[in-house]
Amino acid sequence: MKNTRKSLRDNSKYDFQWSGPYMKRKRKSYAIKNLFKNEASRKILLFFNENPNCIDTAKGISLWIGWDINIIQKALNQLVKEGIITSHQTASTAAYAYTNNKEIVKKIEKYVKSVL
Amino acid sequence: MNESEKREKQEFLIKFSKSRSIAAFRKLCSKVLKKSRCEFLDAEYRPIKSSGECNHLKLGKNLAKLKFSPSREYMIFKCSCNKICLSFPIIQGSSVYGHVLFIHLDREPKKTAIDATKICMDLALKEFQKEQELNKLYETIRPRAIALSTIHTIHRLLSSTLNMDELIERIARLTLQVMRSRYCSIMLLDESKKYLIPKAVISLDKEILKVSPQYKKIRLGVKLEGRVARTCKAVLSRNSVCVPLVEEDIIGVISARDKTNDMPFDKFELEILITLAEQAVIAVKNAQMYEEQEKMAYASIKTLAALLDAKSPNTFTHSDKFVQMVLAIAEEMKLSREDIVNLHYSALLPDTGKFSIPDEILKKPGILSSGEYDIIKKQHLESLKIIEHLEFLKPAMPIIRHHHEKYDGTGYPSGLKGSQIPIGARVMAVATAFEAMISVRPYKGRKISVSQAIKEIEKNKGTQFDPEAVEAFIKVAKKPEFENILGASA
Repeated sequence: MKNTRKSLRDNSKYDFQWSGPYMKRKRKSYAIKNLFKNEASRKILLFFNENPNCIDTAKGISLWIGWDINIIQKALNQLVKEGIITSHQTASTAAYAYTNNKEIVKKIEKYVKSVL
Repeated sequence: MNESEKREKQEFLIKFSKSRSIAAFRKLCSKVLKKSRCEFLDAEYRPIKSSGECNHLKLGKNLAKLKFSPSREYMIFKCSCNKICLSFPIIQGSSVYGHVLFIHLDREPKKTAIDATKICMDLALKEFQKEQELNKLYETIRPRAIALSTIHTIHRLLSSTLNMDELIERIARLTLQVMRSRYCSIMLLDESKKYLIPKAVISLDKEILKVSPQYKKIRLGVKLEGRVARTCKAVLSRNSVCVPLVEEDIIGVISARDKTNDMPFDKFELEILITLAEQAVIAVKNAQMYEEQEKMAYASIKTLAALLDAKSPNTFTHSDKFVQMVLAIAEEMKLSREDIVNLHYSALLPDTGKFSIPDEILKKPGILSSGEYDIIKKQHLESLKIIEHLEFLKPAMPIIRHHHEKYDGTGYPSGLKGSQIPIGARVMAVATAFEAMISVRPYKGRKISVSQAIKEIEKNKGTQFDPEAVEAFIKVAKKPEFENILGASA
């Protein structure tokens, strides 16, 4: 299984949600609320929870959220590493979208409902 | 007043009573009308649901009996507790939406206080209306603006590649993402225009994305995709959405199935997929045109190479194994696609520079004199003028021009050294030397074995050849496929 994941990652320019540490930490009761501790990540997750179909650049997302692009870019990179956000990379553009993982999306949705 | 109107007014009042502007209004009024409590009643003087249990329900009924007209700006009266109360109607347009009551005032308010309260009330109402309008805009315009931005981003992602395979896979992945679906397929019509050939099929299954090109082709009119291709009309159903890819004529279909949240697809999503399909068609057409252009360029070079080869075999061109070797080294060095294409073109016409060099020099066995070497340098550049008018060969020209340079700067025609020599030329230099060593040439007596040739290349690493290119070459030589390359027809 480990090899399959590695090869998928190597053969593609995309970061897949199942390869992030979120999936690895899942068994250790990794709580979604940890992701919400960072204010920028919280804003990004709320934005994607509201607009799951959206694909946008860091600049676009920072505009929708109304935050500084550098902070948003940093938080996006972290969320991509976590496997919550998918990045679509080309030579000139990097676009970000919400994970397609049903389980993660449901957990975030549930958390957002309980918090707001 | 019918039921829907009543409900609408009730909702308006509930929202208004909870709005931020009313919170500010309450604060202000508590200062102007001291010790008063603010309550909301509907147009028929009943307490609104959100205000909870109203102790002055009876008072409301009494008010109803008074039947004061909406045109009356306010009313001061005594409630059942014999305390002073003040009431304003909440008027929107020409109809009364409800009433706001100030209960238990400590004394009868002065005219100025009433006027101030009335002005505050009007301001709060206007503020609330603005808030409502903004909310409406937020709910309607913002999602569309975000969708528009998404389409713009998709356009940027799609227009950044002209490689058909990469493009089709990217379209499929983006569709899967935008439609939030578990399955997406892109099928293009074959040349006979009777079948749809699956070009990318992606399914999100057990958290793993699978790209399977080995799906069966579909006849036009058969299955959902076939029907959409035949009718050229998008189809939206609960679990699937399929859109034709049309550019003057149909070129294929794009379909998405099973939403990840198990909800049905809606019209808004169909609209998004149609827009995405329009973008995809442009990108696919561009990629097809680019592919055709590349084919034409390749055919022109092959023709030129064949012409040169007919004049003098193996003088201006090299064998197929040479081309394959050059490409294998380039792949090993992870050069960009553009660099690899240029290297491919140059590998087909590597020695065009020899065209006007006299045969007696070209085929002379042994070491050249300095005079002959000068002729080679001069004629090499002259000969390249033959192909410099071919626009698509311009990026490959530096490779052809400089592949006789040596890494230490002792080569020709310009005596470049190290990184001054184009990377493609450094790769070609290694492959050219290797091929020359293992082949029989009229101007050199014998060939040497492959292992000896590899050792010779390694020995000249850093002097004649780029160390990086040599490393890559050695890695290629160790691969089992290298035998196939050497076995390629000359």
